[in-house]
Amino acid sequence: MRIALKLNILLLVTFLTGCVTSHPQSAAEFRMTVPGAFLAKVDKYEVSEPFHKVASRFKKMAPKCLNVTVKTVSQSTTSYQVIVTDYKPTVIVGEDRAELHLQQHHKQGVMKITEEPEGGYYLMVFDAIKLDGGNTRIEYYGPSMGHETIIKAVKGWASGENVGCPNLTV
Amino acid sequence: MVVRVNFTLLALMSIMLLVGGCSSTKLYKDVLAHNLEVNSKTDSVKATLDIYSVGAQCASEYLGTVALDRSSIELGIAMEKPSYLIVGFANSSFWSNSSGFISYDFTLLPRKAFRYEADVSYIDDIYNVTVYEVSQFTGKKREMEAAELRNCHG
Repeated sequence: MRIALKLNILLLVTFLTGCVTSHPQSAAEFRMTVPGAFLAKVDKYEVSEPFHKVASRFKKMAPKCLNVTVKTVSQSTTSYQVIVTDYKPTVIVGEDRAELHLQQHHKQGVMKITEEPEGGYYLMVFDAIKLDGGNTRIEYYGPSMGHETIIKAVKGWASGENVGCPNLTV
Repeated sequence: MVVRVNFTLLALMSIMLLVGGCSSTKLYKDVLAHNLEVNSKTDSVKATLDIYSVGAQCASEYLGTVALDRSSIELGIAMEKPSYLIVGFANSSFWSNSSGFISYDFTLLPRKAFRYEADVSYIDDIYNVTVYEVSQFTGKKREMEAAELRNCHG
């Protein structure tokens, strides 16, 4: 049921954004596109963790948790669908800014209707920005519905609470 | 009405047992000196640990599965030989007809004079597996790096 809902949202987003222009081909383009896009949002919040700890967790956890392939099967009395998705995380750490980009490439089950950047379509981008006083600001760019587990996991990496990998099958 | 529902459930359970009985899962024979402690904390899933021996050219042989159904379990795995371990988390909902499985795998080469601890958690759809090596002499405990746990030593 939840898989079917996610698929519908995904197809809707793909369809709507695909009708307008093309998909962003870089993280920078993605950041610019998200604020005006349907079913997408920008979320900014602050965590009371120093920047170096947040950046370090991004570097440690992203490859461990998000460099995965997920196969989902949805079945009803009238349909049977298999979707295979490769996720690709990229972490870039600078002096006072760390970026986590997550891309997804559908190997099976989803039709490509626009040009796909190398590594897959951009799904979400998280920026961690160093603040004075030992805090860090997180800026999220991505879907406003679905993928809550990934968003929750990255929030955990930023805050240091319940640090772990998101179960991408739920 | 109630009787009919019960029969349906019984029939489904019988089928599940039959299918389960035909699966290739077997219990791990825990005959070696205990050197691995698995501490688990889960909220809504069934956690398991599959154990494989690793031979030449990284060929693996399935040795069995341990159910992580207690908060702490001790077991023995081969010393000075690599073992390939898979921590699996299975969730299922009978009523919504949905199920899922996600796993975290790693290779461990246990050394003499050390014991190993694995902290396994699955809370709120966030899972984590952290492996520590503990010196039996000094008690010093260190978290093992992903690179150490990824290499095949076969």
